[in-house]
Amino acid sequence: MQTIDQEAQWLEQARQGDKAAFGKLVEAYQGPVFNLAYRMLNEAREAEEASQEAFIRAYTRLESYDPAHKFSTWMLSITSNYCIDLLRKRRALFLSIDEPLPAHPALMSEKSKGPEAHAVRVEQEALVQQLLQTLPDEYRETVVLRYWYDMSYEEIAEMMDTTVSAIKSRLFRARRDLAEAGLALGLG
Amino acid sequence: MDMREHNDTHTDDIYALMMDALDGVLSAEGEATLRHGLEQHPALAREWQAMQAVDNLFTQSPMVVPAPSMQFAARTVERLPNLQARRWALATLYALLLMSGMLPVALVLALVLGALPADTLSNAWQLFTVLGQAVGQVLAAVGDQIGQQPAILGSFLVMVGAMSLWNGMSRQMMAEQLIINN
Repeated sequence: MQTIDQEAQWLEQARQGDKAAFGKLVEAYQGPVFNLAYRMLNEAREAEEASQEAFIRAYTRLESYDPAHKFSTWMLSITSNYCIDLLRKRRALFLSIDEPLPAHPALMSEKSKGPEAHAVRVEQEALVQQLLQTLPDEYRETVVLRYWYDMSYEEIAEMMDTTVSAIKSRLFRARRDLAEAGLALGLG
Repeated sequence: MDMREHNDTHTDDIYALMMDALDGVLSAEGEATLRHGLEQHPALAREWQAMQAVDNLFTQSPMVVPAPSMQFAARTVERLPNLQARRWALATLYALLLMSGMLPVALVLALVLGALPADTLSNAWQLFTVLGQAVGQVLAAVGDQIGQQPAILGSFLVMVGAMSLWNGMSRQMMAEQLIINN
């Protein structure tokens, strides 16, 4: 885990065009960025492409980064905006997002914990993705940030450039939608 | 307040308590109110159960990360543009734009101050006219060629298309090879 000073140093070096320093930031944040993209896009390869693109965009826009805010929040904001753009394009191309998808390669490492545990894990993961895909993009983004990033309503509102009450309302509707979808899938 | 309105308000209160409970900020008093409300509304109780099940599922689901063997960070760094070259290109472009905007002003100022001979403006105008005519003739010739032999343009477009296609295919193949190797 890097310290704040170290992160600030890497950022400063990256601003000067030091790709290796930016590489350190990529290593530090690749997990959260990829996770967000994967939860949003529901496709591992596409999520990886989107994560790379988000990092490249961040690198070219480093001048606009305000150090008063957390780098992680700024980075996740770029990622989620890019994913929402991708989802809009995907819809414009009339591609189906309902097809069942293979499990993410990261889940394959669970095999070492036994085939049964692995099967349960993969099944749960598929269910999570299936439920998330029932939500509109903005709701999904809110849910992902709340559950996997432990962000407060204020942080999500800041990141999504909206009000706290709008976020509360989105999360409320999302939870109701998810409960309905969950009931249809036999949860509860 | 009619009965329906009263029920809706009551339902809204129960939903608000559910959200607080899921966010982990429900007081003991709120918990009792929620339990009491759910006993009175079986449909809400069912929904609440589903909400909790989804909440548990999401809370237990780990954060997924890219497979480390795929050298995500290294491949991302490889794709980063050269910021310094970009900055130089932008600076040059801005300088050129600035100069192109300032040139006529400088010319007029020089003429007014008498630093240039009086016929400079007419000479410059003649030069621009000749340049404009030359560019116009080149474009007209290209247009004529395309009009007379559209196959040239067609084959050029096909060539560009084939090159783009091949470029995309080779990138995809290289990416897949990288994944297989890893």
